[in-house]
Amino acid sequence: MDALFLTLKLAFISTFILLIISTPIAWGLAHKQFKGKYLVEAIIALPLVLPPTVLGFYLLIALGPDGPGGWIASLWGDRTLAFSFTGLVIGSVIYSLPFVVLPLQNGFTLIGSRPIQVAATLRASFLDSFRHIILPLAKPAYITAATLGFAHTLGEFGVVLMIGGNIPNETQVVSIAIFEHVETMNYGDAHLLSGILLGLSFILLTLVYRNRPNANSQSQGSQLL
Amino acid sequence: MKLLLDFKLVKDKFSLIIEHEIVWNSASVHVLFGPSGCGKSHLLRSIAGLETISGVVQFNEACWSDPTKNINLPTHKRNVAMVFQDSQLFTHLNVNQNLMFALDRSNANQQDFDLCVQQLNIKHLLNHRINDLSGGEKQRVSIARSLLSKPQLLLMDEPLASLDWKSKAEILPFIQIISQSWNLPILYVTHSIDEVMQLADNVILLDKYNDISQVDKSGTLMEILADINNPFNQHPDASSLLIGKIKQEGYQQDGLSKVMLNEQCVYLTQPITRKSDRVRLSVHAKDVSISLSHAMDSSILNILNGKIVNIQHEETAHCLIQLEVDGQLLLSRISSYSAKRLNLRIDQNIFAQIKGVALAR
Repeated sequence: MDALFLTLKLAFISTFILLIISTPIAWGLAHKQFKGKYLVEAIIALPLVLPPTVLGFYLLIALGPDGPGGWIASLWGDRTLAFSFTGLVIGSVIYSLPFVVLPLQNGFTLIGSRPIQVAATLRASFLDSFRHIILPLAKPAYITAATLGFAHTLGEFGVVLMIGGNIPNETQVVSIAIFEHVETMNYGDAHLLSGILLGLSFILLTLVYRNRPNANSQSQGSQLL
Repeated sequence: MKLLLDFKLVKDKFSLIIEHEIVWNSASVHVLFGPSGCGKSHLLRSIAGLETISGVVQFNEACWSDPTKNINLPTHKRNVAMVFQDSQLFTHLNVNQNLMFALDRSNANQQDFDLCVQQLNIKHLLNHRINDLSGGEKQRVSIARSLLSKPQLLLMDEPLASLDWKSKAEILPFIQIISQSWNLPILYVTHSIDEVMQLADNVILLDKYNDISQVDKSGTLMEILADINNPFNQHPDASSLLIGKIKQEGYQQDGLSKVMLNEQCVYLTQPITRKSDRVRLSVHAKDVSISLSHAMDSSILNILNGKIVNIQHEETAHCLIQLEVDGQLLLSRISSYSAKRLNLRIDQNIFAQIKGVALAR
């Protein structure tokens, strides 16, 4: 059960960080034109297609003693960020980034730049209208983004295996624990954890699809925007 | 109140070059008129700061944009509000919340709120959701919202273009009243001649030559209309305006109202119930025919004495004839064939038969 608690903690923290850093990225991709925009989009989408082991390998190098992660860790006297919970959070954020950025980007594109302009003619600054107009209008996109980011972090295996190893209470997440239970022929515990993960993922996806706007309300949405 | 414009806006398909000063002597409506695609909306958006321009925009003493002084105020810091063609209300808020969004960010107070709710007749809608409103109701709420922002200048971008005639008739008369009671200069964009006739005190004509849009002419509506070559006259809805005095208010005998021009009078088939004794009537050129004698056996209500001032042959089989009636100008569009058959010429005295007169305001 420690593994389950650790997994949920990882998923919550990662999702929280993801929502914060994805908001400006997604807004920029949806509304700004800049040189090399396609490069940024390609880089963010990479985790969608890259084998997790490849991503995990590079992260291992980056987080290790000789990479930037090692340098950061040295600030508080550690040797490396690899094989630590912090390392897992960094890995999860990178690994799940497209699952949060893309729904937000779609949401912001659908809303368009008109509401911000209209609010500006009513004396509202950008941050003011983002807070009071865009956030409420983009709520469905945020729910989808958060759920996908959360669920995707729950299920990660390859990246965790590469950068986190299998340290109970530090980096042993559910998917790794299941793998170990199967390896040691402990099918009962494997069943239990797998069942919980299956149920959780199913519930989360149900939330995503129930929250998806239907054709009718979408047309209302585009009307206001 | 004056708005100084001296800027250039470059778009993919055209560029807009404006060197013009718009002066409101009192709170009134200036109408910006021009064909579709000539950049009228872009001009408004440039004033509001929603387009990236190079040049000067200055309203009264406040400089909103001036590259030489490195000034380019963002939209929310300009003292301007804008009404868009498609109301652009916030659908996650109800009517009252939409109004409060503007009120919370301006120095408007409860009295302003009550006044605009009453003027635009939206009190019964305050708790409605935006998606439950009709097009006309949405636009009324949108106008109210822009008033509660307490701007010093109101820009209106074809606010009636997507409405049916009934909703238009509901809103159009309010726009004059709003300008006066809120002491607010309005710059109003339209491509509808009827809206120009009803609303405009002054007109700015925008036109496009070789993908460059510029101000073609500007002046009071009467000045613009006096020129037979004005761009309204190429339009099938070409109209003229007659100014008159109400003879007696309300319904007359047989449901007619009587308006005195100078010596002659015009009958309207609609009641006039207003306090001002001066009214503006608009007459479509196609509704005016010409005869050489005063027909006594015609159903036409209004037959006026007049004199031909100008005859202009058009590319179609029509010609446009400018008449002087009681010292005012009246346009008539008849077939060139008829003009030839009646041997019409300048300075000839004729009778103008008017098929329809509308009360413009």
